[in-house]
Amino acid sequence: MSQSIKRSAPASPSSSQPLLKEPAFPIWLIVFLTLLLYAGAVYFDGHGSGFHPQVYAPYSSYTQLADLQITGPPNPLEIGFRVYHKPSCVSCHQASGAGSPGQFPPLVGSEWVQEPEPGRIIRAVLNGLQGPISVKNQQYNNAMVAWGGVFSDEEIAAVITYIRQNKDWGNNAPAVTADRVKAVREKIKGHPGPFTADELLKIPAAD
Amino acid sequence: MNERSSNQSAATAPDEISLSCRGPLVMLFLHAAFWLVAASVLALVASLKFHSPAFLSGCAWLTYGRVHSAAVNAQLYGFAVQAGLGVALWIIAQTGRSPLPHPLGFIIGAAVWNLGVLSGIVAILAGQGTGYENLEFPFYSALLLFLGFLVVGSGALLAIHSRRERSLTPAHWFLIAALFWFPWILSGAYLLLTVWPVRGLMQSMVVWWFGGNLTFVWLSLVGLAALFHFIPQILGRPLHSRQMALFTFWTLLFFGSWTGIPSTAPVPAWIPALSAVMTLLTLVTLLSAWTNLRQTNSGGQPLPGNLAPLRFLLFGLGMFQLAGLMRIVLSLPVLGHITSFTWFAAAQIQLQSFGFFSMVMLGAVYFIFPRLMGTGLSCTKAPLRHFWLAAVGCLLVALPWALGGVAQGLKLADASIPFMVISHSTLSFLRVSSLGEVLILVCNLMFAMNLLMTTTRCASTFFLPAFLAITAQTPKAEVKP
Ligand code: HEC
Repeated sequence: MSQSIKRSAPASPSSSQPLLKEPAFPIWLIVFLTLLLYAGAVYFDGHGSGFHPQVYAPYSSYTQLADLQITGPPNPLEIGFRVYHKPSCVSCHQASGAGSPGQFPPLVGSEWVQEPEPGRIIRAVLNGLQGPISVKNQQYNNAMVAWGGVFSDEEIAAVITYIRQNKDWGNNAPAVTADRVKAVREKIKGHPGPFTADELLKIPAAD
Repeated sequence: MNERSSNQSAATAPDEISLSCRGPLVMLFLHAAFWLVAASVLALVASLKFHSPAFLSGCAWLTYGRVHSAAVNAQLYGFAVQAGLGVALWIIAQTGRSPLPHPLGFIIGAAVWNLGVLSGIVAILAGQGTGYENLEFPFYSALLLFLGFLVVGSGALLAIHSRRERSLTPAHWFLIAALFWFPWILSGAYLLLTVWPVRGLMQSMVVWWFGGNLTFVWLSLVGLAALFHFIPQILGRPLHSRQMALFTFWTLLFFGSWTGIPSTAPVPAWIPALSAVMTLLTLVTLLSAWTNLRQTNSGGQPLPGNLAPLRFLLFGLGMFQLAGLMRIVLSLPVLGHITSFTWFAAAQIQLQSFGFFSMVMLGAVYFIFPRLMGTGLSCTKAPLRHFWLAAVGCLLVALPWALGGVAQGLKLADASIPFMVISHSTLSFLRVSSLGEVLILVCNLMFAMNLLMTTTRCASTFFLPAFLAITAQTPKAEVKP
């Protein structure tokens, strides 16, 4: 650049001469363009996702996306966690599962939740529960709404499995399958309203 | 005193070439000046609404959404393209040393064009705008624009074809490309948006493509043509380097036409990435034009009386660089994420369309007009005053927007600051830029008045005697109702 300034400065007094020699094309411009092209190519290589139509910013390659996809069968504990926090159960039994004294019974360490056979708890959750109930030697007398119309068999099975197997709460009872929930649903068709604790205790555990 | 001497030199009777330009160019320039004033009035109203929302809010025709897009479109199609066509015709006729063929054809084309602009602006204000940015004109207005451009543009190509001076100048390359570019992008955009509408996000892609090609490629083509033509002519020395101008030309067309997709666009990642790379590459276009014209200008003295046009042109050159750099900032991934969706983008558009293009056109018109009319401007001191006011006005609009935009973007990136607080903090910047809009309006009025008075003065010397003769013959009895 400084070269061409020198070139034109002495020429200016006689600039009216029509035949000024065309100055050499500045080589730095070409070098600069090459550098920019290189930088651009590197950037595009990193962010262009190889023209893949399914990759959107902020991702830059399809493999990144593939790594984020869920693989294998869905984990019932994860689905159960999501159902529990939909928000559904969480608004009464709390995220900690501790319930609230005198109002909502705890799920943590509850003998109802941890029964080896899940028949009773499935009924309670499907149709709701009301009237006096004893949980961990505490008396409650309140009502829980029915969830059978809200969630599918898979979701009910998942959320019950979640509360039964929640390690943070110290609970550990066998998982519940969607088939079991479906079977129970069939059996209680003739029982439209919510159950009471007494009613549930009369039903054989394995039913 | 410089001004006066130029006035006298320009007052020498225009030659055959300038005479052939007179009708079409007066038509184009006066209408362009009218739309320029209209655009700045609308822009001022829009700008005031930002800090005084109650202003004119009772009338649906004057709500922000309509006034703002009417201002943008009046500026683009009413002023920019129209003035660009006029300047192009002048350069083509002068460098080709042959008069424009069929001046009446150009006048008809310009009339169709202005009908298109008028119907489009009215449609936008009436709420009939299409809702696509920079393409708000309804289809029928766009059709008129297309036809008008076709008539004027093919006339310009005929003029190039029949030129007596056969060698082409750099300005020719840029202008010929521009003459083909505009009908291509306009028809392409409208065909894809209204005739065979594409679906969903593809519409935004078409709008961005068109916006990049009009506001960057087309305006740069015509603006640079004017710079490459008038700066050497005013300095009375040749352009520094033809090869560098060729480099500017091809890099502008090749890189510029890929740009315009915002870095935040919700489309597959390769599209914004490619657009960002191409926008970065336009840096060489900016640099080559800058070096070439700086070299041409360095140490030169303008021919007497041409100081004001030169100032306009050099200011435009500077703003071309600034707006181009801001455009690169907006398209880069990190910086662009801060500045997009802020006033920074508005500042970039303002610098591109007013700071660069309008200023170059104003300079060119101030240079052309006295030679066209053979009378000198009606107010000779006005161009320099206009220059200073317009330069200050332009920066007063753009700088607060740019600074406010960066501040706004940094705050937007901070989730702990509520949105309303951020919006409020931009208000003081917006008030300053409203002041700038007022200055620009004053300038544009000065410009339009100057052209109008010069034209009427010139016209009266030709037509007044004839007019008097006709009116004198009218018997008074017939005038009575
Ligand atoms: C509207 C508040 C409320 C919601 C929401 C709620 N429950 Fe209950 N739940 C109760 C009440 C109240 C009782 C005690 C009913 C009684 O007093 O008879 C109870 C009792 C129970 C019991 C038996 C007692 C115990 O603590 O072990 C289980 C198991 C249970 N709920 C599970 C759930 C599950 C699973 C969900 C989500 C699908 C849920 N609850 C949602 C209020 C609620």
